[in-house]
Amino acid sequence: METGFAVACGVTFLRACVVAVAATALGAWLASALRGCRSGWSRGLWATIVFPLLWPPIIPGYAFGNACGWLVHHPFWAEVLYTALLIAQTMPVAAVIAFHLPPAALDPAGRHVVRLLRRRATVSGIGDGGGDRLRPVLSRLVRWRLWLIGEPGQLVAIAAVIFVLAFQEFEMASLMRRPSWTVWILDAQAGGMYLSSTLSYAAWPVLAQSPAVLVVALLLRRMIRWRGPVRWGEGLPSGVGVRIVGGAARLVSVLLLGLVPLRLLARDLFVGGGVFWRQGDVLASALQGGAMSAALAVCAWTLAGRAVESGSAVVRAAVFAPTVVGLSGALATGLLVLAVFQLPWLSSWRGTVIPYAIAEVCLSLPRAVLLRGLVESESRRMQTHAAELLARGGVAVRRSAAYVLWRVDRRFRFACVALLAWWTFFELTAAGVLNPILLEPIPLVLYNQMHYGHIAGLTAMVLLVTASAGLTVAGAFAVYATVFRVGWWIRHVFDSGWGTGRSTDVPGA
Amino acid sequence: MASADRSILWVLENVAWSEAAGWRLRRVSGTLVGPVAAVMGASGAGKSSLLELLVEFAVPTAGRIEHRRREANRKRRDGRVPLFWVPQQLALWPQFTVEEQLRLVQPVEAGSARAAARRERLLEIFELTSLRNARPEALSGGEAARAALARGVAAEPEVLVVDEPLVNVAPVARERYWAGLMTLLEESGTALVFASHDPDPVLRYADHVLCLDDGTSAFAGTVQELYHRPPTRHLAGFLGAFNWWEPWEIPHWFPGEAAGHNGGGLCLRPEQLDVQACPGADVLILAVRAVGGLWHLTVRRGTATRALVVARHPRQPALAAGMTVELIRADGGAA
Repeated sequence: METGFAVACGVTFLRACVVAVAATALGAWLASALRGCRSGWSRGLWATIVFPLLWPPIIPGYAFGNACGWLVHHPFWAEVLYTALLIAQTMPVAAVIAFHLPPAALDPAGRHVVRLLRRRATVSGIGDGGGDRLRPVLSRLVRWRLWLIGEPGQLVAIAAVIFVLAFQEFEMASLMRRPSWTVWILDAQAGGMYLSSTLSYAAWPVLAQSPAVLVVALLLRRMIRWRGPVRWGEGLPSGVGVRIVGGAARLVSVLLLGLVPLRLLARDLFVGGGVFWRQGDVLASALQGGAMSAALAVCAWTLAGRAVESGSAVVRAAVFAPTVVGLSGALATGLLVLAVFQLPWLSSWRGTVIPYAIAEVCLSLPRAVLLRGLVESESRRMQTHAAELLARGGVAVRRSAAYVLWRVDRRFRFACVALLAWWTFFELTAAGVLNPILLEPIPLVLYNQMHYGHIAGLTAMVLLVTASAGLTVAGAFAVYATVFRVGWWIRHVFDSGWGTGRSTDVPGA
Repeated sequence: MASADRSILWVLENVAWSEAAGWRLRRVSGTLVGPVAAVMGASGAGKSSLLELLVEFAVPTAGRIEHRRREANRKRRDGRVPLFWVPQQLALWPQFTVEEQLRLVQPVEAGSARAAARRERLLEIFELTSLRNARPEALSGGEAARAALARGVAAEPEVLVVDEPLVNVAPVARERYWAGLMTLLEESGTALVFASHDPDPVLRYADHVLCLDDGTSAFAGTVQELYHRPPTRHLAGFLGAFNWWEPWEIPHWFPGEAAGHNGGGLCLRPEQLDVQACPGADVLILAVRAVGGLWHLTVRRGTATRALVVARHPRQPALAAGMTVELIRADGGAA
């Protein structure tokens, strides 16, 4: 293995470990603030917490790219800045997962029972060794298992998610010129390295992250299969100190990822704003990419639905396989799909949107499965079904049913698909590897130009593409809401044959 | 005041439901008859699963479920909600306050005086007036259970399906809420189907009962029938304390009587068996323990020994070990 690559892998690994520990701790504290965020100003709290999830990483990466240039003789501080950005970016992921996690298999009461049993065992001389050499080993194994199924195990699972995200990060590392295996591989690939060599290099970090990926896959499985009651946010740390640290972390993350980059780029927005409007093809490409992202998001959402709802183990496994591929990261997925499309009978499709679409669906699947699991948890489905039962009543109740369904279910479904589309739109690692000729994503085009430093026109385009993507989502939301209401009206208010009236009759009784 | 009629609510034929993890219902057949029907069974017997099928939250893998009221309602087209559901998880909508939950399900325009008055009454009966502006996350388990039940009643459906109603509520207050619930349901002509493992509400309020055992229907009939003439010893236990004699034991303990109900065993509930001290009688009390309103006895007749549960009457002389007694059937009929 080349020394440069080994160093890049080592640095990425250590950095990901630091980020995992810090973001998990801060995320758990941040999550406690999410309790009780149902209305009024507290919705703003949610917004500040989840904002980094929506903020495209190329913006802070591009904004701080110059700062890293100034810090070229102070690599330590450049590293600190990049790590801090990574923590700010991944902290909300930890918070959202901690908030929505099903309760640990061993809750605090269960742990106390174990402690009491252990005390009893010690008093009666059991578990002290007592001549049996295996007993201390077994006792330690049991303790480890109890630790893993308890709350510490949950923290480990969250940390694994953060580790995977930090270890696979590419955009900011590339723009801020930080050592990372993803940057090394993509640079080597762009420099003309054979795909087989790139793959053999990439296999090392992919293998190194595989235990964490496995933990994430198990966490996903647990979240979507949970059937028990969900008391979101229960068991989280609380207290004034927690609130202060959580609040400070939130403030720092909004400042670091949002306000400071915007301040650094704002001047260019006014100078270069005209460029965006003059280049009509940018807007057209953005719209085309947006439509493609939306279509891919719907695909991932539908497939995830099969994983969550299907009673067939075969179907679930068929969806879970590409999910695990997606979990291995954008770069690994992109390279894998590229390798598949170099096979003789598939090579004619190389460079088309098909490999890109497959890679993006694989990448979206883990998030889609997670979101679908949250939206379609049993308790949430029961709430939705209660509203659907109302829809069989008179006009007044049917109107209420539409309103409740919208508030309880449909808008969340839209938000999930929009989120997936948003992330797909701004994903550029797999797109960079697969390079779809006819549909080069506009963020990738912009990213390729960002290496030349801050240019007013480019800055304006980056910000305006982001803003127009946001406006498109808002517009789509309005259209969806209208279509839902009109559709509901037609189906239920004007439909005199309310209720299907059919009995549940299954052949083969 | 609308009145709830004694009609068939559901007809079930060989209903089964299995999932990848295993079966949830093996084979359930029978009818559920209004105005109040109960689904009974031990934990894990399949009560909640059956209710989920009744309200079409899930679809059975085999068999047939016919919702009779819905068919009737469809012909009538009076716009009434045919069915509403209060699952064990309660399914309160987290976005809305307690009062909003009631307002949203009311069949008449929520702004009308009648709707407002009924809402107030519901809040009062279920003691939720001070919690009207609270969201579900701010409610305790018992408060949330009351709110969910109030919402179910507010919808004034044809049939209300409730899984373990008021199970989280303190026993002292439970009876009060049950009484309020029954009054409200009668007013709106709503039939009730509820799942319970507790014999008390079933005996008090249900007319008809479907017993589930290990995912299979074990009994479907009236509560009175199950109470007085249960087909098996196991089923007798669904409705509380009982004394059971197998057919071959009956002549020994009740000389002159050949067989039990329907030629099977004999079931006598504690109040249907009188134990009277009688010097020289051939039934000997070996041990006695008073538990609330019941005597738990161990008695011997000849070589046979058995346990008995009998009601304690205030004017009855105390029973004690060593006494000889006479067993008298007080169920109004010979075996």
